[in-house]
Amino acid sequence: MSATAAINSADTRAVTNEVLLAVENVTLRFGGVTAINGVSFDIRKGEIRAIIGPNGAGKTSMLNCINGFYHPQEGRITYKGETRQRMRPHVAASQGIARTFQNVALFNGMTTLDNIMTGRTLKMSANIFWQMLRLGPALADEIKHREYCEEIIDFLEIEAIRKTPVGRLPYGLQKRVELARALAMQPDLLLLDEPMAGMNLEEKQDMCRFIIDVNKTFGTTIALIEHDMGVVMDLSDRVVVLEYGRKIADGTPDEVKSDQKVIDAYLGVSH
Amino acid sequence: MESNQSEARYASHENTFPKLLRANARMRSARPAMRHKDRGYWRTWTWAEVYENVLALAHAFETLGAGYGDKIAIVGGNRPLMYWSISAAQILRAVPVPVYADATPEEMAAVIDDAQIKIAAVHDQEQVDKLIGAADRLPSVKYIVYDEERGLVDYDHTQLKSMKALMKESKALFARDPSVRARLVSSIEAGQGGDTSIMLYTSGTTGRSKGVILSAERSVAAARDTAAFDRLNDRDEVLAYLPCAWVGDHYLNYAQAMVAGICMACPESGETVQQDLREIGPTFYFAPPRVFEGLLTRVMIRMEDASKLKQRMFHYYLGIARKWGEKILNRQNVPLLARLQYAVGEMLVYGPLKNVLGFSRIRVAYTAGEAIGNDLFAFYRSLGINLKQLYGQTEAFLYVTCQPDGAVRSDTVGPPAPNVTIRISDDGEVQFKSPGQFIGYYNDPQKTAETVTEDGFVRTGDAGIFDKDGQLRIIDRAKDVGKLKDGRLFAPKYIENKLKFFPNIKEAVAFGDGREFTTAFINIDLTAVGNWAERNNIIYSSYQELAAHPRVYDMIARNVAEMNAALAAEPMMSGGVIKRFLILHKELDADDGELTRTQKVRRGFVGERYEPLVKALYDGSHEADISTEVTFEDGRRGTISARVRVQDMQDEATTRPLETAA
Repeated sequence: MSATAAINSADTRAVTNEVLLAVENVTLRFGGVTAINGVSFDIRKGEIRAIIGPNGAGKTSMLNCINGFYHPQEGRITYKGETRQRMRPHVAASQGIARTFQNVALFNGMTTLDNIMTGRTLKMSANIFWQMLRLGPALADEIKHREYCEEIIDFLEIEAIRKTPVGRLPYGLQKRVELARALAMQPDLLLLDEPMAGMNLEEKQDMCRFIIDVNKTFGTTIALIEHDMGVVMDLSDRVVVLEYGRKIADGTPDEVKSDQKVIDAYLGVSH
Repeated sequence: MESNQSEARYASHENTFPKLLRANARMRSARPAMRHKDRGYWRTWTWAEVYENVLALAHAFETLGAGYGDKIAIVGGNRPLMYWSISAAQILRAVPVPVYADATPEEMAAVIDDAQIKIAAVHDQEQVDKLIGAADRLPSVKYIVYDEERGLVDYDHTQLKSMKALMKESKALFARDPSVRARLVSSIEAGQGGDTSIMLYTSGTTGRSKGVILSAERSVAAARDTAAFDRLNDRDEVLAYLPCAWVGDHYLNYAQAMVAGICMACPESGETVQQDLREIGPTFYFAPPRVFEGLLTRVMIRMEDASKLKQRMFHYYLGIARKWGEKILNRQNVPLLARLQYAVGEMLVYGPLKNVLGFSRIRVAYTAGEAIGNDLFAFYRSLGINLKQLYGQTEAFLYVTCQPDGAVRSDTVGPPAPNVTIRISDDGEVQFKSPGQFIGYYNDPQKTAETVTEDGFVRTGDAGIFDKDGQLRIIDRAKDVGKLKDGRLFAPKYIENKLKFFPNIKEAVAFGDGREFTTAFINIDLTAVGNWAERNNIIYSSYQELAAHPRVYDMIARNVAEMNAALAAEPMMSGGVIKRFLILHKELDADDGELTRTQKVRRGFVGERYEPLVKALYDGSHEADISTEVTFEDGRRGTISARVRVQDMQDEATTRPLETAA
């Protein structure tokens, strides 16, 4: 079981000072609207990095810039030491950036297992001829990837819904399947867009545990957007705060919590 | 090898489980002994492989200091390593003590402290956390060994070990130095029939749970008797899905598997049992009545959504099964045409249905623990499933009575099991002597003396009577049988069971001892009533709201009326006619101490906890306020308050027509 070995070998997480991704002076405009305005921050290898801010602060746009869905008009994004002007999502994916979405984006008619298998698509090597026949190298390939997916199913404790079409699952479980699919890509950087939105307390606790476990066991670097402040403060190593497209604070949860600008942004300020 | 097998099917000179394991490893070396679904596929171990793994694990326990008489706790779900830990402990002549995996930290600590556990073999992080949390109260625990590593990497590993890693080391050592393994094998030979084979804690229906000591030779003897009774052999398969701390799992899956060479399958997880059942298709199956009830409810609900054609087919052939199915199962004379119709039904309905439920290959199935409704029982039997009843106790190492093929009824639990003697005491209590009879309660000679009579019979605490045909009928717990003020018999469980046979009623608690009339608390069944509500456009947001709905009350009142009519017809039981009842605002829950871990109602505790409601049932008021503390699944505590309505039963209500949720 090579997959087991892969999971077990990366044991303890190591937050390093090595920068995995750096965002420098990024500005993103939609016509006259400036969604992100000159924001810079970095994500270090192995850390859990939170991006927070009030509605419309530009958090999701930021993630979309990072995984190449949007192309900022100004600024640079450096990933694994490589600076790029324009990047396409599939290139980002093949370089190890995976994400989940604010509103679950799964294939509803497909089973949990099949959804997770789609996360392995980029890693399939057999050519289309074999794929169509589902024989020879394609079959060997599929067995190998299925094994990896089963590790993830075990990891996220979703054995019981393996063969259930995801459309029939409750929301909390769909979120978990989405995380499973992102993990199937064996990402170096995992972008989570509001992983706990709409969940009840128990589901949130489960999800927190999974995020920490992913970070610990797989050593995956995680950037997450989240509104639940308790969750953010508990989970993350560092937090960047956006407001109206600008960065207003950046630091450890404690630093950010006591920052006056952050308090103003969240609680409102009298003018 | 084949001829060898049949000769020694129930090899008789082995008097401990390790000896049986070794014999199986020889006689059935290549036959499957255990299966476990892991990472999506079934892994299988042969008897020879299981034997090697158990030896390695025994060596691991030995290096951690376990030896003769030491107690080893087993805390976890149905997983190969948990069962192997039991065998490994038995090889060392240590005493395995299975603990319910869903026990709260307090419950678990109480058992571990009582048994003076030295090593705890646990499933995963959850159990490790519970034990570490109580570590300062449990000085006897020297090591915790675990099966699943997830989440435990960062823990301090001085007293915490991975079973898999330890086994690997032991196997490597065996390879380097065969004498180590040989010494362990010889310690199997040293095992005595009188050794304690296992200590099982009772569920605590009637107070603090007690450790029941069972000896090796008695356990083996009992299992041999019943395996022969049902002609179990090494082509049989079981799915072990019940808590391994419960006597039923240990007996039916572990002990019988050892004596008959049955292959035991472990499910992937607690939630996948239904699917795993389908994939394995066990030939021997046990489930408490509530499981059969839940399955039937689900089947019926799903049929409601089926096409008209399928519904008609389903009901038509179910009618035929009702008429002929049991007769065919009992090998009675059945006309040829009926047999043909039944065969078509088997092809179109029963076969596919049994397949969906995972019952296609069942040869023998048992139910026990609670009374089972006649309709429910007949439903499964009419499909051709050989469902029977047994009556048992931890103190008997399970079997006291069991029904032989062909003499099966829903209202009795059968004649005495092989080699069991039963007598009914003067005050109506069932007492027995059995091959598997326990040695005593751990550290509690007084309790043992209270339970075992001077002439060696065990008091069951159950009141029962023998029917004319020699089958035993259990009425209630002997001490719960009381009297109304006017002297009429009040058997609460008898009433509660009758109520629970209605699909809408999940749980009932009857009161009446020393009172003027009988009353009851009722818990509705959220699946059945929820489905009914959906179809009748009744909107509700919570259990509490649905339970208080006037139309739900009406429906339950009709059920109660029907039961009253039935009770009134039984001369002995007329005291049970319910005059007033209420529907509780919350489901009774083991986490709140209202049910035992085996889901039996703690009537006395419920009566005290809901004292204001009991008062309201008797003082004539029509409403009562109640506020109770509850424990949520994550361990937090909170309170639920509600105003509960009390319903009066009219005498003429008994004649009103019936309408059920289904």
